[in-house]
Parts: sequence; structure tokens; C-alpha cells
Amino acid sequence: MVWLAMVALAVVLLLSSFSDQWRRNYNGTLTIQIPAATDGTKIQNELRLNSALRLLQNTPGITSAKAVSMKRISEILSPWLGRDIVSEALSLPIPRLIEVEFIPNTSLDVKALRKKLSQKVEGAFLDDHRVWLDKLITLAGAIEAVAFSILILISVAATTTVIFATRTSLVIHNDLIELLHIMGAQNDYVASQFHRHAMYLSAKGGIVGVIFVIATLYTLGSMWSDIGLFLLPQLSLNFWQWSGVFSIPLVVVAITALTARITVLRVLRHLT
Amino acid sequence: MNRILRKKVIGGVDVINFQNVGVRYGAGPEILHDISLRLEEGSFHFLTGASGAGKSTLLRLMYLANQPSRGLISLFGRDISTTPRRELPVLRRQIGVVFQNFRLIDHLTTMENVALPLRVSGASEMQIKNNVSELLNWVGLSDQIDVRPPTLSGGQKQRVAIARAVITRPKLLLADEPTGSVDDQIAMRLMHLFQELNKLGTTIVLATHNKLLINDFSYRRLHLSNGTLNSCTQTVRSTEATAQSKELI
Repeated sequence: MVWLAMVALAVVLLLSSFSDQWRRNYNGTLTIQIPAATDGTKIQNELRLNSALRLLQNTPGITSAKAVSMKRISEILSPWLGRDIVSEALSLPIPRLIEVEFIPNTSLDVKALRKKLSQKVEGAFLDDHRVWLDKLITLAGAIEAVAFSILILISVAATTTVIFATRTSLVIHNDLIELLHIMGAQNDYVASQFHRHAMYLSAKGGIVGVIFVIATLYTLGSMWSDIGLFLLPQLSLNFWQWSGVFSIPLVVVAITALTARITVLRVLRHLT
Repeated sequence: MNRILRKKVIGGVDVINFQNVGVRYGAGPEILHDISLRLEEGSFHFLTGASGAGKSTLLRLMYLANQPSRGLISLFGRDISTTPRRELPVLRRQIGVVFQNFRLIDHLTTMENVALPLRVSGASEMQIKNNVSELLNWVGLSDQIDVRPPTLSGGQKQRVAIARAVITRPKLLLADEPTGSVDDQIAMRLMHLFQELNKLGTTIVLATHNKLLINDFSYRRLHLSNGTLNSCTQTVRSTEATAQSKELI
């Protein structure tokens, strides 16, 4: 349960971090696609590109407009086409790309710019990333909600398990509890024996859970790096987020001990 | 050992006082009815009766494990029915109980079993170590400190149970068939141990149907029959009692 809870919280925090990174990276950016002109020459395509660049550079609010180099385009295409085929593919009339940066929340009218661009350069397409970014963030949010629900469910399940395990233990040790009462033990003393034992067991389980979590997150991190997709942000949490994740075993121990103590005291109060 | 047990006080203070006490389980007939008795401080009593007469039930009332269906019970001068629940453990700590089936805790060592009442009452580790070692030495179990009950003989278990019952210097000691699982020789040795405790001031109620003990020791007898209590006192056999009392375990 510790492993499950820690992984669930790590997923929640990572996805939240992803959403923030995506918003930061793609907020204030546009991508312009300039398709090659039909039956156009290389020079004509370059003229179309430069025309678009001039329009963008003269638009208020835009801080940078740069054409993506052919080298960069081949790097983007190589995961899909393979390095051997890229050089041949570049001789085909593939669209040229312009990366635009603008100051977010300014008066830049993206709609108007889209219209001007299509009038200036036939076939030019302005992508403000909103369509896929919103969907991606929505998906991340949905997964976050599921992971958070799992975390809540684990907490409830853990608490319920402790309650029933403690009650069972009380029944099993009924004789011993009666003996302690006959010796003059207060309910607090009996409850403290149970909650200490519960703490010990949950601490043991917590240590095992932490070891598995470290192994799991390390493996996930390695796999993530190997994927190497530019679209995916870095898999990292800050210090406070890691602290939150690794505080879960301590929280579990505390909840277990408290639940055991409360359960024992409630049951003993009903004993004659 | 003397610093563990008190000096005997001969007084007229009632340690236990039952007035018309009755016990019934559920809607069934009364197991004990109209039990009235007064046990003075420093007294020694045999509790006798046939099997199923209610000796264990009477003892359970005395160590507050059960409540009576009717009647009044006073312990150390306090009416149990009006004593707040949180104060009952304080009264229980003044009672030592030796159970018929020992009720030792198998996963604890001899030392830990005997120390348990001291831990329950919050004694320090130093106190526990000193007192328990000395008492186990006194009952002849100093070489069994670290063993667990399953490896002990019946007589040894009984001595551990007695040591556990007296470690807190109780004012009242209740023993339910303490010699039931041992031979006559060990039974006599245990009786001498109880005598020594009584001399040091502990009030003792010993439930038994061992005729040898009852005949050889002249103490007041509380006899249960058909759920009612009768009492009588036996003639003193002083010479024999003195000679036997000098023999320690």
C-alpha cells in the first residue's frame, strides 16, 4: 500500500508538473507552416518563406520569428523516417516551419494574424498549439484525478484494514487483555501496546514499500530518457514534491498507529 | 525478600466485604446467592467446595473480573459499585492473583512474566530489574530467568505465577487451586511460601480441594455448597505448623 500510495502521488505530482511545463513552453509560441508551392521552384519557396517572416517580424507583440533550418527539420523527421531516408526526403517539397515567440497576454490578435498570413502567403497555416495542448492538458488532468482518487482509496483501504486487523487482534488476545486488566492496567496501557505493535509492523512494510518505489521510479526514469521524444517534458520533481512523496511512509505509520489506538480504546470502553 | 514484602499488620480493617452478593449469568439460576463475608487484613482463608460449586466465580468477584448481579462488594474499604471506572485499576493493583492454569504469557521470558505487573503500574526499569531478580531468587528460579514458560515444569510455572502475583506487594492474594498441577511435596512447599507471605501482612484466600493442605494447616475455611457460603475455623496444630513454616523453598 505504501508503494501504491507513493507511486500514485508521484504520478499526480509529475502530471501536474508536466501540465505546468507544457503551458510554460508553449504559451507565447506559434508555429507557422509554409507549404511548398505547387510546381514551385526552390527559389519561389524561399521567397514565400521570407515574405511570411517579414510579416511576422513587423507584427507588434511578436518578439521573435525564426525559420527552422533544414538540419533541424531532418532531426525532427529522422525518428519517423529513419536517418537513411531523411536526406532523400528533404529533396521532396516538404513544408517549411517558422517558430514564433510572442509576449503572452498581449494584444496580439492571433485570428487576425492567421488571416493576414493566409492572404500574404497562399496555403500558410498558423498553429497556436491550443488544439492539441488543451487536449493533452485535459488528458493529464484526467489521469491526475484518477491517480488522486487511487490515493484516497488507498488511504481509506489502509485505515479500514487497520481497524479490522486491530479488532481481530483484540479478539485473539482477549485472554491477555483480561489478564492485563486484572493486573490493574489502564485502557491506555493496553492501547499503547497495540499501537506500538501496529507502528512497528507498518514501519517494516513502509521500508519495503520505499525500496520498491525507488526501484520503480528509477526504472521509469531510465525508460523515459530512452524514449527521448521532444514533446515529452523532463521527468523530474522538485525538492518539496520529493519530500511529499517520501513522507507517505511516515504518514502511513502515523495513521496506522492512531487508528489502532482509537480502535482499541473504543472496544475496551465497551468491556465490563 | 523482606524489603519486597511488608511487615505483618494485625488489624481489624476489612480487606474484602461482601453483603448479600448474588451472581447469575444471563437469565439462568443464581450460581452464587446471598454471599456475605468479611476478610480482615492479614488473615488467611481456604476456599473449599466441590467442583462447580462456584469457587472460581467467587474469586473472580474478589479480583473484580466480574460484577455481581446483586449485593454489595467493598474492597479495601471502598464500595465497588460507586467507585469510578478509572479508579478500579488502582484497586486491582493491590490484588495479586494466582490462576489455576497459571496464565503465563508464552512469548515472554520468566523475568518478563514476573515483571509485567510492575510495568503495568509504571515502575522504572531499575526497580523492575532489582525486584524481579530478588524475588525469582527467593522462589528458587534464578537460573530460569531467561527461559520461556513452555520449557518450565508445572511446579516451576506455578512458582513463576506466584512470583508474578506478589511482585507488587499486594495487600490481597487470591490463589485458585495453586497446587492443582503439582505433587504433594511441591504443594507443601508452596503452602510454606504462602505462609511466609501471610506473616508479612498479605491477606490470602486460597481456593483448593486438596484435603492434605486443609487438614495440615489451620486456617479459616470458607466452604461453598449449592451456591451458598459457610465458614468454619480449624483447630491449631501449632507445633507442626511452626516446624513446617521454617522450611523455605
